[in-house]
Amino acid sequence: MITDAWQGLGVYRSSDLVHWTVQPENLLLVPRSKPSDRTEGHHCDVIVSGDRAFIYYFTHQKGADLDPKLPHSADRTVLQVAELQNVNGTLTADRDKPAYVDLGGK
Amino acid sequence: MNIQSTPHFKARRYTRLSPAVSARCQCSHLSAPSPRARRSSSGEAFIALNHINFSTNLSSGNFGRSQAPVLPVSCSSRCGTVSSLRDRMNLLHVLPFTPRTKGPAFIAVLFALVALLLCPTRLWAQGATPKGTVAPKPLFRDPIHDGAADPTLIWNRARHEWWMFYTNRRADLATDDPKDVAWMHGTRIGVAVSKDQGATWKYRGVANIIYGKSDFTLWAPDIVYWHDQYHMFLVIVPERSKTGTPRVRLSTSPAPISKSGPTFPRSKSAQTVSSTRRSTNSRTAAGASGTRMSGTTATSTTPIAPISCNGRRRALPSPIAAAKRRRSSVGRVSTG
Repeated sequence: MITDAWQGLGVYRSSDLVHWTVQPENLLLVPRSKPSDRTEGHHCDVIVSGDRAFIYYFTHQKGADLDPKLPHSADRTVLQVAELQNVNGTLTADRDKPAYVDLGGK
Repeated sequence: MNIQSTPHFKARRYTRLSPAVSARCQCSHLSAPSPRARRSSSGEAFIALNHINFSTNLSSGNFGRSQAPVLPVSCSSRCGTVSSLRDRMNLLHVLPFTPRTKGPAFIAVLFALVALLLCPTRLWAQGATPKGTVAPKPLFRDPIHDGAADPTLIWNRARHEWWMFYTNRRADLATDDPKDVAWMHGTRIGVAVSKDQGATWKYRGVANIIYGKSDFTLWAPDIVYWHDQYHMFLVIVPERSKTGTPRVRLSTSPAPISKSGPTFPRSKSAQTVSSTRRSTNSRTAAGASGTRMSGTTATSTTPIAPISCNGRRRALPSPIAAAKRRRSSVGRVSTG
């Protein structure tokens, strides 16, 4: 389960849907470098495709992404996608890497 | 997409469900919907999802790259220089391709492009480059209000496309007053469609979800496919202000349709309310290979006239026109 913690995305695991264990590291919290995707990620959806998984989320256009040409840029939000990785048991999403997306067809 | 009064589906109320919980397992048979709505006896109306084609015979249909053919050996040998070609293509992602470039480099790039066209994408999975198409960054901006948020994706089984629904925050209406949250309210649900397995998206319009007053706030949809039906969870704020109490509504699509192709739930009145830019009335996706599903008994039907989100009428797509001709004595086309 992934929730919008407003400090990145919280990751929880459960084997019975009753008892949940939170992952210490939130997803998409650390500011990164790619324009439009440098602030924390918000409210997401996850699509699993075969042995890969993709996380769709949104970001505010504030901070380093503040666009002075647009009125109220900080209120503007855009959608992003990144591939999820399981790194030594920790769910991560490196949004600085190009996302090769293939959700397949169901 | 069309909204039509129909008595067919159930709507239940969930008050403890958090819409922010958006992680979910991917169902194996997802399909995007055409929302429909009805009004209950109490005057409430709910969205439902319609026009679903079911086909469990995956081998009979073209379902994109997941069904990509295995690469013939001959093609592998023919593309033996693919590693270097792939490196060149990686460069193309960084360096803009300019036709003014001439000479050997230009020819090599052309050769790389031709080689890429000849080789199925499965070849790339054998190397370091992951399968798929590089998604742009940002992936999607709402072209109207520039406030796309809370995305949820669903596989449209009828159209063989990935569809995305999102909160259509009207960021273009934000004011200098930080306490003015009107732009965050009265929001619709935006729709975008991908034809390349989720890598790039095009704006499709907004889903006109009829619930209460027209300016009710709609937030954070989530759609799942379960037991042959679509289910949409949606946050609704009855008042267009921050004092309204948000509610979560669950709306469920009508019963699955039969193998004979798209049909429509019974309707006593053909009150088409609105739609997105394009009609989502589906083609006969399952066709002759479609699998019969239980409970597919929609018989008395009313064709729905698609109307553009801008109020422009569109011609009836052929399945709808055919349905209209077949059933001209049964239903009447609404005028919206």
